[in-house]
Amino acid sequence: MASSIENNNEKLTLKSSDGEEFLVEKHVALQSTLLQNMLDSDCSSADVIPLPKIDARTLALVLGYCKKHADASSSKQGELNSFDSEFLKDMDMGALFNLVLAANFMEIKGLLDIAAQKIADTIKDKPHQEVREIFHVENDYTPEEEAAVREENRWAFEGFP
Amino acid sequence: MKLTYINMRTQKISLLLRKRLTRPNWVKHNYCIRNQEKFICSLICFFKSGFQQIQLDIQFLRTTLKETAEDEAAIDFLLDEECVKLDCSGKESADSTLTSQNTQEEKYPSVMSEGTMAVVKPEFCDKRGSSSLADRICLLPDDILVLILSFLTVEEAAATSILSTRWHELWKLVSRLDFYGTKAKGKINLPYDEVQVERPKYVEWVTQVLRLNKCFTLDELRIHFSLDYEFSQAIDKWIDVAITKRVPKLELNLSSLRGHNVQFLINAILFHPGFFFPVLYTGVGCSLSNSSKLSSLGSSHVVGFTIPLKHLEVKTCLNIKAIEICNTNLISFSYFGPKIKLLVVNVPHLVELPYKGGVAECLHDFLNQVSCYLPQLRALTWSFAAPLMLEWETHPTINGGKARSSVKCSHKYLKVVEMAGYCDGTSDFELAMYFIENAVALDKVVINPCCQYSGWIRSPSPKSTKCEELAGRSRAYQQFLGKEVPSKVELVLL
Repeated sequence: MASSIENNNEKLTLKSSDGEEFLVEKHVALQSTLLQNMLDSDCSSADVIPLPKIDARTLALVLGYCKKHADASSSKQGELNSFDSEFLKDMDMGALFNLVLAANFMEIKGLLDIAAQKIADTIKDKPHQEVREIFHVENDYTPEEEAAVREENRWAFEGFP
Repeated sequence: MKLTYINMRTQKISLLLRKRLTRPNWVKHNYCIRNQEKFICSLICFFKSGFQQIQLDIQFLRTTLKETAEDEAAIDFLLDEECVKLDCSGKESADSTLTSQNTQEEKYPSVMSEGTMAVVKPEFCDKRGSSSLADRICLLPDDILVLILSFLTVEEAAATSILSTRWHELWKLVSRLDFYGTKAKGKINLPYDEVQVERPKYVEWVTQVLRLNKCFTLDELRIHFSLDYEFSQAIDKWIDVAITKRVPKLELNLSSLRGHNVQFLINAILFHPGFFFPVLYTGVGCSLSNSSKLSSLGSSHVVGFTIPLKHLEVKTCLNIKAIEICNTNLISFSYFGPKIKLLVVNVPHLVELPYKGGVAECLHDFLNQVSCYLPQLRALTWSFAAPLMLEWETHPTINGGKARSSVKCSHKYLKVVEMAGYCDGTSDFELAMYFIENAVALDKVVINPCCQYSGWIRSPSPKSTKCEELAGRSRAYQQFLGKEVPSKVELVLL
């Protein structure tokens, strides 16, 4: 399949936190700066690379993203953009958080950015009460403190003064 | 346990980072990194790459940490007692330090969070006891939360401070500041009177947020509001902040969207994005000379050592009196506007200099500079607006002969000279001849009688433009007819 790309038939094995192993083509793995650095160093690619913080479900998603971007890196940007927006669509917050952590860990900047953007879009334009509910943020302010915080940056809550 | 010792004095960070996945258990770090953010980044990388233990000498962070931490004694304790202890044992026998595995790893994050950058968090809130992340945003480390906030406008990010105590300070760590959020957008379009009321509020707001921001360096700063000279002091301060925080992308647009207050606000300075370089767009009204920082905007202060600027464009800044460009690595500078004093000193890489506008009094000096300080210049485009042409033409000190005799250096690299707005004046011709005679590498002179760039100043009626063009063209034809132009120079008369 990747016959057009030379020397990329090499594969490496990634192991998720729950023990599942993924066989990945090298050029796909290169989307991750972490793996790239590793491949650049003397690490033998025959090794199984453990990714102790990423579960199999998330890793599968991440590798799906990497594959798309690796295979399409020279083709149209528009296609990738629509893939990106489709990729995160309907993803629940838990999965999204796992994904953002994985992208951060594996240093996949594109994925990290779109995932963070997606979370930011969820926060945008929502009253804080609702944001707390969506993200299960425990409000540990006392009412006095909360009022003080509100006063501190009043402009943030009602436009600049 | 396998031990890898990496001497950071002799190895560059990049080399070190490439090695990190060979999974050494131990790294000694007593390399003083000036850029603290880079330092933190490399730390994060270490944590990620599964080191069992990392040893650091971070004494150099002491002052910074003390400035920001509430409890100075704690910093002293952490730096002196804990770090030094480990450092000593590390010198004696590396293996002995391994007895306290992970303590170090946990320690540094805590030291960091005493300081301004609570970015290092190797473990997530495990105390919650859930193995899956569920949908608790609190389980994300601070650096990711800050990244998320950076996709929000300043108002939206700051509003998250109300969520919980952890969020209280997070928005202050965002390194991308966009002061052109929805609210500002709405207010900039208000009727003139109301905009005037909003101005001081906007200025105060930006100033306050910049003061609160705790980043050592900013990635992006975008300020856009209709402001005039009244606020030049505050604007100076913003620019100061931009300089200290080494903003690679600064967008400062102070012109009004609706174009009211035109007499003040036509000014614009455009720092074009180069490769990955900054945009600075300012429409600061009024006399820039009143504002020291702004008048030096085009000078070494901004262009120089602070921002790695490659291209600078100054456009329609009607009140700029002088631009100084000193000691920078600028590659191209273009100017479009009325006459100014232009001083170009020690800009070794400048190779393009399009210059659109009248240069009147300073032409003579300018030519001197071009040849003495800019021998490396490769392209020079010169355009003149017609009204200024006359002034230039009649100016006593400007005549080709004088310019020619006073300039001693030749232009070794200048290849193309384009003179737009060429009128039928003798000085134009002299100038053209000057370049033909002095620029040894010249292969093209373009004489363009059309005045394309008169838009920013009273533009002549189309009819008169046409006449001027015709006159310019026929005159130029006659002028060049009898002149000897070296055969390698292509003379193009448009």
